[in-house]
Amino acid sequence: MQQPIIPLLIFLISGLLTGYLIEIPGFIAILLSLASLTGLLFSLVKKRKVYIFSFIILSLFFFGILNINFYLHPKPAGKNISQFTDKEKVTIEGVICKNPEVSPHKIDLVVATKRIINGGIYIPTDEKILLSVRIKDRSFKCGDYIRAKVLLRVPHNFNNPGGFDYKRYLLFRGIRLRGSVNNPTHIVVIRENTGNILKSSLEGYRTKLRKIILEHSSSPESKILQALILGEKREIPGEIRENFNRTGISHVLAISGLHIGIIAFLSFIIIRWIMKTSGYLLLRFNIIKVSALYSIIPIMSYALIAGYSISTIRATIMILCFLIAILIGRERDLLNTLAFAAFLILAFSPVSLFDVSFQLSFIAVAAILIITPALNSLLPKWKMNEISRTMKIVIRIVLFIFVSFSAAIGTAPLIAFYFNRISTMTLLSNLLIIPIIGFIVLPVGLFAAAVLPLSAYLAGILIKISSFFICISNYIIDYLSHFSFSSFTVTNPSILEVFLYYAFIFLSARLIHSRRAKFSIFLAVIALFYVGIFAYINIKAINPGKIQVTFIDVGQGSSTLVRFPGGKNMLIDGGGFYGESFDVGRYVVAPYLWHERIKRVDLIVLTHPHQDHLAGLVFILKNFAVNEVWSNGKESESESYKEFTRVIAERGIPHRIVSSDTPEKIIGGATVRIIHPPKAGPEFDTNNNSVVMKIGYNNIGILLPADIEEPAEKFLMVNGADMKSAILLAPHHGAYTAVTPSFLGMVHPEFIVSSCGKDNFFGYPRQELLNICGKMGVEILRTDENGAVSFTIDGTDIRYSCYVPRESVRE
Amino acid sequence: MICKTKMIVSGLVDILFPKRCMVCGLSIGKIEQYSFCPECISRINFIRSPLCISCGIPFADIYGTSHLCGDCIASRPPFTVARALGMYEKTLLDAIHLFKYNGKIALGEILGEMMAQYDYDSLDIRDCSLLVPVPLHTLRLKERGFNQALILARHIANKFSLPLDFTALKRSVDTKPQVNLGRSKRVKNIKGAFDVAHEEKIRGKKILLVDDVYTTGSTVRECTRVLIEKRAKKVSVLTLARA
Repeated sequence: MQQPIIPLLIFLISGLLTGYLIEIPGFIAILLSLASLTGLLFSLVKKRKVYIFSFIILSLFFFGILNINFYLHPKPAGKNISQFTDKEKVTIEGVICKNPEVSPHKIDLVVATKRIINGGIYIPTDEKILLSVRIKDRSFKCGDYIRAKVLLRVPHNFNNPGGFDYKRYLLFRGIRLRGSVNNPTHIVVIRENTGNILKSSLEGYRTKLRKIILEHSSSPESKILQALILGEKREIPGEIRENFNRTGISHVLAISGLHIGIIAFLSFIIIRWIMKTSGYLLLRFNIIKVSALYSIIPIMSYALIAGYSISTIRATIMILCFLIAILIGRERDLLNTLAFAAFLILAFSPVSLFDVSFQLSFIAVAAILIITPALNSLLPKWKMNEISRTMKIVIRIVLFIFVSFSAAIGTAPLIAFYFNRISTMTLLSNLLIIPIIGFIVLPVGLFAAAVLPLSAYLAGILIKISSFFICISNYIIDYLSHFSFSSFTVTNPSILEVFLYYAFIFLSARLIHSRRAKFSIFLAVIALFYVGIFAYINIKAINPGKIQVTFIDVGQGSSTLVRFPGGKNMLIDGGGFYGESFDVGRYVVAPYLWHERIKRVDLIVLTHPHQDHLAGLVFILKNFAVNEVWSNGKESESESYKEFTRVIAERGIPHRIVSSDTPEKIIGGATVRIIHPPKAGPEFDTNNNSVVMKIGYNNIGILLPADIEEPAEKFLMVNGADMKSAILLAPHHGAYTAVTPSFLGMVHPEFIVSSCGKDNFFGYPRQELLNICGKMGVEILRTDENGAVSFTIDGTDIRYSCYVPRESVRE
Repeated sequence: MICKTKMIVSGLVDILFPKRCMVCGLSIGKIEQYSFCPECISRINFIRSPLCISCGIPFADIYGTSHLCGDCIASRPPFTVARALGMYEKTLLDAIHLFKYNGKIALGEILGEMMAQYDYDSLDIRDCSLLVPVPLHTLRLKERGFNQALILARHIANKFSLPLDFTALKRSVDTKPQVNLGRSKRVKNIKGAFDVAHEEKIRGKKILLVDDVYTTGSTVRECTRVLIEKRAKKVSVLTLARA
């Protein structure tokens, strides 16, 4: 068999995926695994090769299912702790069990709780909690025993198609509860260094290293150095990160196989160089094996210093596997070795499969191993002893370009899928930056870490040298990122498209390599298939004869997307939170739009300048092609509003002030009418001055009244506005002062959607409204429970779908 | 028990690092010897008699008998016999290039094993009492990182449990590479390049001199001359390939 690990890996992965998609009761999975293991035992005794192999892959498949189910459906949380969630603040005590993640506005701690103190009674507990501390000038270490007063919450997702599954993300890290501390008196470190001695002494060393980095280097260089050496990348300023993203070089900031590989490579070279000083050593020992063996020391030290995060451990395992291959002296089948590394990692940490960094690392290396040799075969064959030194350097550079190109090709669909951005600069920036950061900054920085115990002075100088080179690379990146064509946004590819893409790349590589005609037939078939899918998706986007209205789950706030027949679209408000750094536009609304393959928004409507409707629009205005903006013209003093007007002016987007005098607009056969506020009329407060829109299609109305309350409702009724609509967005999220019964009577909806946050502070939507709806036989849908709610009007038929199925809400 | 454990370990190693042909990279099954694929093995031209009884050059007429070749009649080489595993062409040529210039030491080890296992016409390695690889000059050694002849010799020595000495013979002059030189230039180039550093180690020994390639024989002739001069009893030559 060519690569025996690859089928094993495939079956393990399919087991993991099956277990992920389908919950299989534990005892059935255990029974099946036991059965296949027994089968394996029997076939081993009987020595039947075919059976042995089949039972091995079968066992792996069931092992995969068991393994992932264990993470997905952990034993229910101890009653002790779950009874305190979402109620009132409790006092918890526990040990910080991971390195704190420091971001500019907060510190995230993973705390293994030991006990809860409630009413003077100590209740033992054992549960991992994510604690976000938003207090300035406080620092925590792994191993600290802390006490905190905190409101425990079950983590919550924004339930939109294509949205990030935060709940699952935390679950995979073993975390089922979260809480936050904003008051400095609510958290205290009781004891330090309660973890094991190795961990705490390592932590002490890391603290020293951090100190010396901060002393001899300034932000942003120091932050990048911290990311490279200590694995702390959260503190890197946003604009630097953005520049790295735009130039397709952000992978340099996360310690990966590239970094460990460079360190392995350099140690190998250095050890070989040391050995070459002695003829006797060269004759006595096998230079390659000795160099490979001793490279393990710097690699392991780096992994330890870099904070033994899962991604670092993964990269280390990968590189160690390659080194072992060298030590064993076999003609290395690197793909098999890569598969072995993946197999090891997935067997011990199955959730890595769903980790973006895992997927990117392995796809990148696999792509390099498959595509680069194909590209190489296009070059003439050189005999290494017959070419000049300059030629050797040229070949090295060409090889480096091939490697970067292969990695970029391999990771492109994943990057499009997760980050919705493709950089055109990626080859150039990798060619320029990797030599600087990988071969100068990183080794010099690590050398500083190594000499720190001997001489802080020397370490300081080395830190200065490496931050100087970071400065240079930042300058280059800054330059490269400022072209308008440096990067462009892409919408999410579908799974099928990603699959076809990889099939195409793989077969092309084989074709180039083997030059066999049958591959070109495969390629043609795939290309045709892809064209078909592409056409289908684009025709679907034109949305013929249908209008679709989606109330996006933006938490407490509101954001509505209307897709008109013919493909035009309109986004009304963008959600947003008061006083939080969380950008709803970037993390919720944009991902939903990208998922829907929307890059251009034809019309953005800001109903009124309140944070929960406005903040999310800023990101959309910056990152989407927007044709026109409507608002009621009322201004606000808030930062978001200033940013909103600044971006509109900067990008030259037409901004139209609308009122009930604005003539009706027809888009794709649907009518869009503004029925509030009046151009001249009574003074309303901000909420009551909201833009109220009615969309009509085939005599079916959709009323979007934003945050109006009783005064505006009354005003509209008195003025006899035509409000009759089948679908109504509950005014002001269903607040106490809105949705009067007479207003409801006037609109006479079949469906009411309340766009509100889970357990929101205001208690929206109010119970009374729910009661009235029940009485009137109106169906009420809530974004906090149902997630995104999407209505499609096809002819006179109204259909709706919720992201969270209604049955599962009821339980 | 030890045998079983060994089997399991080697089985695991085969799964993690499956065997591939060392020369062409094609994957191969367990049965193949030497980690070469059948195709590459078939492209090795092993040297068989009839051949020159002294320098070991094979004769084209395969039905003839072994005798002295013209060159050896003209100037009898100082060594007793010189033998090689195969012709310096096709697979062996590629393999030696990968080994020497691309640093595939693992491949060299396998080639050494092949050399140890082959039956040579009128050369019995067991008769020798010391193995000496043709040395590299220190500068060349430091540039390459290893001595290819030593790696071959070490495997032969291990196989026959014979002593090996890589310090006795020294290359004291950094000569030009022989590769691009003609016969007469080669002889001149190599003249006086070797020295015996430790006479006592070779005195009275029946030496097997090991090298990678025998082209005109000028290198091994010069080595042999120096060794005999310092009172080695006799010198036989074994090379991996022969031009």
